[in-house]
Amino acid sequence: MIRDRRAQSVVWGFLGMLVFIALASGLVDIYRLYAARNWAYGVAQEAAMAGASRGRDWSSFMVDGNVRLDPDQSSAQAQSVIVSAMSSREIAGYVVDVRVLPDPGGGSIAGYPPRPVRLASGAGNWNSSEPAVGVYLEVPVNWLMLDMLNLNEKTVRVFAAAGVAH
Amino acid sequence: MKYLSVWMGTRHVKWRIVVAAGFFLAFFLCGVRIASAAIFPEYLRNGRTYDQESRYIQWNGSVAYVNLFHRDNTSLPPSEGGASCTGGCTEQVTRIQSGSSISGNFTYLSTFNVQAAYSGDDQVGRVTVRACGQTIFSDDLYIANQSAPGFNNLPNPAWNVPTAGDCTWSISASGGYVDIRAVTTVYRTTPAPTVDLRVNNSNGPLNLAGPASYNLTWTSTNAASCSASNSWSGAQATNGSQAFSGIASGTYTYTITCTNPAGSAVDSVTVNVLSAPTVTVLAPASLTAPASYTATWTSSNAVSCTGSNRFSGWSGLSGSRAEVSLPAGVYDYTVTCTNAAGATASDTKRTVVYAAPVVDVKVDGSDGPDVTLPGPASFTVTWTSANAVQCNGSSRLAGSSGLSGSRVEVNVPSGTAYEYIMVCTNALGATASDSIRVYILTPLSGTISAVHARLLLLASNLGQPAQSLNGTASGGTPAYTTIIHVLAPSGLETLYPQSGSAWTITPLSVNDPNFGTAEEGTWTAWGVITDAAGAMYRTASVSWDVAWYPVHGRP
Repeated sequence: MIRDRRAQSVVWGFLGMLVFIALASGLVDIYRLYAARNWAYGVAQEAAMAGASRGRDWSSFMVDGNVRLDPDQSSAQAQSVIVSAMSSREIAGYVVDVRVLPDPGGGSIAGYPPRPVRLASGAGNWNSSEPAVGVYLEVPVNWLMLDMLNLNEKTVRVFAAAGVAH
Repeated sequence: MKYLSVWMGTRHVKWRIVVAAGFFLAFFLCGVRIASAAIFPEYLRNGRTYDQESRYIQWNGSVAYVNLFHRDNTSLPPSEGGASCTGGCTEQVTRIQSGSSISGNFTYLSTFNVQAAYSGDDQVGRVTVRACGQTIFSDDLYIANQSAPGFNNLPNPAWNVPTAGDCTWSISASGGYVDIRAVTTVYRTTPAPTVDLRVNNSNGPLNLAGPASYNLTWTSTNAASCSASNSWSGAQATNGSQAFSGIASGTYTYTITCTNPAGSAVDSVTVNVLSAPTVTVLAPASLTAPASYTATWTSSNAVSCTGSNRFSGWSGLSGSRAEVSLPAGVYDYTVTCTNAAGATASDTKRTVVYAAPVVDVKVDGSDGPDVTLPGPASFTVTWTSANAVQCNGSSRLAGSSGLSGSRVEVNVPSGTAYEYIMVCTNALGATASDSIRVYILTPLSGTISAVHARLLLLASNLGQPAQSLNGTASGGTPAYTTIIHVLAPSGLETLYPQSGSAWTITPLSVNDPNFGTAEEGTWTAWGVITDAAGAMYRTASVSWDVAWYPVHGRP
């Protein structure tokens, strides 16, 4: 009886450890997902601010008093920030979609950002009342436990925008 | 002298007088005076005078020297050897023929007698000796059977001369000849003479102005005779006076010598006859104030000069006074000079300093010289003068004259420039002028503009332009000074002085790269223009906006 009880305890102990390990791995994966999302959002916001700031078309302002954005300049500046950030973490396989609303009155872009994102407002139908730069970013995330389950295609999707105030 | 006596004793008296007169004239012209020439023959000496001393004896009629052997108690004259004639001697004596005589002068004698020869020659006549106007001796000199003539003192004892004064003596022959060898005198014994010569009762030297008149007086004591020398001449009385008049300038020394047997006395007095002093004052007759000139004086024959009037306090034989910037007035310059004789001369010159003419031209009461008026303008030009006798206008006042007057101008258009000139002259021809120029101007005005109506905050940091302002000034009286006021949105006002009729402010010119963009908001600028006449004009304001467009993130 005692042997049965000992064997039974070992089984239960082993199962308990497995459960504990699974729970711990799940918590780690949740944290990593959260951290990746915040980082990606920060990168997208920095890229949008850079595009809006460095893309202001002052010559246009001197012409008619309305500030505009230079689409190429804004996009390039935003892309540059993203590339730099990804390079610093050696992240590959990310997806970037930068859009610019150059006119003084802003505008709207239907279907952008392409996927609903948690922290973006107006997801899927971006609009702005002022010149603005939008950055949509998909960054792949490495899992700890879910990778064991062969679920390694998980990504975080973020969207950030910056405008020029009147 | 012997030859001269012989010559004077010969005949042809008229011819001899002419020759003598010629010699006298020659001596006179040569300025030589012979003091004793006034008394001839000269006064007899004290003691014995031999007959051959012709200067003391004058022959009258038939008189001649003869060689006569005589024996007596005489001795030959020193000129003939001086031998004693006690045993007889031959002597040259004077023989006076009957009716002739010899004579002379003496003075101050105590005794007087002559030596005449008694002779056995039946041709001998009577001798008569006269002195002091009386016959003191007369005798027939013939003595029968006298082998040789013999000279005797006649009278004997000698005649006592009754007077110390001048006397004449003479020895004359009558009824035959008379031989004479000497006259013998004894002077009175008295103290040495004294003499005092004065001019105008002064011992001198006496200074008188020429032509001078003065009086010489002299007094002497114990003098037997007096003679004058130097500036006068001739024998003079022992007391007397002599008047001189019309004496020209020069120095005259009068000397008188009085003598008697005991000696002589000399006195002199000097008279300086001085030329009259002269003085000449030189000063301009007339000048125009402020007058600067030099008044001078020069003198001659003066020993002192004293100034009066404008020369008061000045002295010296010559001098000057420099006058500087004298106002109008009458100025007299007088100098009185005095020579050593006290004669004075004075000269006065008057300088009249006329007031300088003054003229004043005004335009509506303004003196100018430049007057600006906004056009079209109406104004009155007036001129007034002082100390002037004539005024003539030129330029816009051409044709105008008179010591004062005016001209009225009506509706003179802008852009017109008139000049009004008036020249006035005083009595001396000195001129004064005044002029005034009138400029009819357009009103003072100006503009200001900003190059950019809007700007970015701190634009230069973005490579964008900062503000620049431009402006102009016109009208009024050039030149212009413009103060640019730049008011920032915060209320800070900055001034930028500019000059000229056009101006520009750039960030570079004010050394402010962010000129007009340092604050966000509305900037305002305006100019205050001041022209040369002091007129001011404030331009309209110009404003511009400075904006900033920040970037913000959008969720």
